[in-house]
Amino acid sequence: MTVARFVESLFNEGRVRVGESVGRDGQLRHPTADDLEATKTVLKEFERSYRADLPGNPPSVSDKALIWGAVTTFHASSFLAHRDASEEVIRLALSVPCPEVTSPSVCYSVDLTFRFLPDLVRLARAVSSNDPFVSILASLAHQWPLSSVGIADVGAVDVRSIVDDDCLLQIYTDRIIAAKDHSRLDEPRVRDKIRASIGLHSELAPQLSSYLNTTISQTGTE
Amino acid sequence: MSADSKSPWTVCLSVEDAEHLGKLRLINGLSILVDGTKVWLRGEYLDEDLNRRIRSIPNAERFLIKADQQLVRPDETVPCAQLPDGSWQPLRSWQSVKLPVAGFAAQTDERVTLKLVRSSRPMLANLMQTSWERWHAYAITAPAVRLSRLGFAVSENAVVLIRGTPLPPIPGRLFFEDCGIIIPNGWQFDLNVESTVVRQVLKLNETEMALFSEDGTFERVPDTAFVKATRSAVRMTFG
Repeated sequence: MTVARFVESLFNEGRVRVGESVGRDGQLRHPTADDLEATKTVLKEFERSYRADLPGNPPSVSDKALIWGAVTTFHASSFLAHRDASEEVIRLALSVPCPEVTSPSVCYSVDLTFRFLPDLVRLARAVSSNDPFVSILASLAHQWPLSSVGIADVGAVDVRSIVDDDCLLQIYTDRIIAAKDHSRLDEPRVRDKIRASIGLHSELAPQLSSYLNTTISQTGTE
Repeated sequence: MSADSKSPWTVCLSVEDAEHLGKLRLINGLSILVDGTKVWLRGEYLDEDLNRRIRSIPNAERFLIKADQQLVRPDETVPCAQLPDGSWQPLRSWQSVKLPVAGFAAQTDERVTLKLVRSSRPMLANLMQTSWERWHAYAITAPAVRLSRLGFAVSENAVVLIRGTPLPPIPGRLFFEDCGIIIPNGWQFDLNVESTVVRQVLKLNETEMALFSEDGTFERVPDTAFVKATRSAVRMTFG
């Protein structure tokens, strides 16, 4: 299973058959240059139709972030299915930093595949919540807040790259509303956007509305 | 006359009341004589059932027939009249049956027309008519939680109908839709009729909706013209 095929299957079918990321020698298998090129082609083609359903003007795509996200998701999925990989190899594969500095473009590009992170974490926690693999996924979730909405216990996240971009902010708040994730309401601009989204119709998100109103009445700052 | 009398008997009634004899026409042995304005009915014996039926004839005078065709009232012994002579005929043949006049469906000379009048009853608008530019500008940046509850249809002249609640916070004409009958918000039909009845009156087929104006005119809108409101659907409309 190549990364390109993995991504294609993920986007088109919503389910994947993953190969092993670790070879018989116990070492991490790295995708070939051809595979990475093919992966980029698949991702960019998908992104052209994907952005049509996004709010406003989505950021431009960063090729390097796009591929990094896809490869990392490929490895994470593989480790979920093949549980015999060592912690060392898992850390090696999933601790490779993104080659680009965080920005709206990078967040958006990584999110194209990282938006499946909540599913990965849910499945991994279902197998074993104390598994090191779960904590490594949680670390990724913390680093990429746009993609990790709905994941519990991520902690305080840095959303500056998100709230500075209108499109990403709307995607982010859409996901918070859908996931009823009130752990992401610390940032004032996020709260404002959610209030604007719901308007006077608290029935659209009763739990979040109630939480926002409670927060306001307790702090008295807004 | 007592029940189960073996004596012949007769009753006399006016011609106008003769129609009441119809309920006796299937009983054998009854004959009738018309004598001017009087009708005479006679029989040879009387059982309890027949006696009850005869007593139920209004304005009928009853007699027993004695020797020499003399008539005696029940419970009397002195004759009081004579049975008239004439050509007696069986009741069954004298009183024939005719079919009732066929009933025709009622014809309405004045048709009631539906009119829209101002309403004091508040209704939650669930359909909006607006311009394509306004809808497009709103939809492509709108929150998913708002879009997901809406559907829209666009006409060739770029007029948009948006259906669902809550409606988008953009300028437009508000309507209330029920069972495909769409009337301007703040208006109602002058008659309190169900929308399903209005559909029948307008002869709408299953996939049609009727969009009314305040003046009572309406246009047919195909229900199939509505699509789920998504940003991509809005962007792809008109290319």
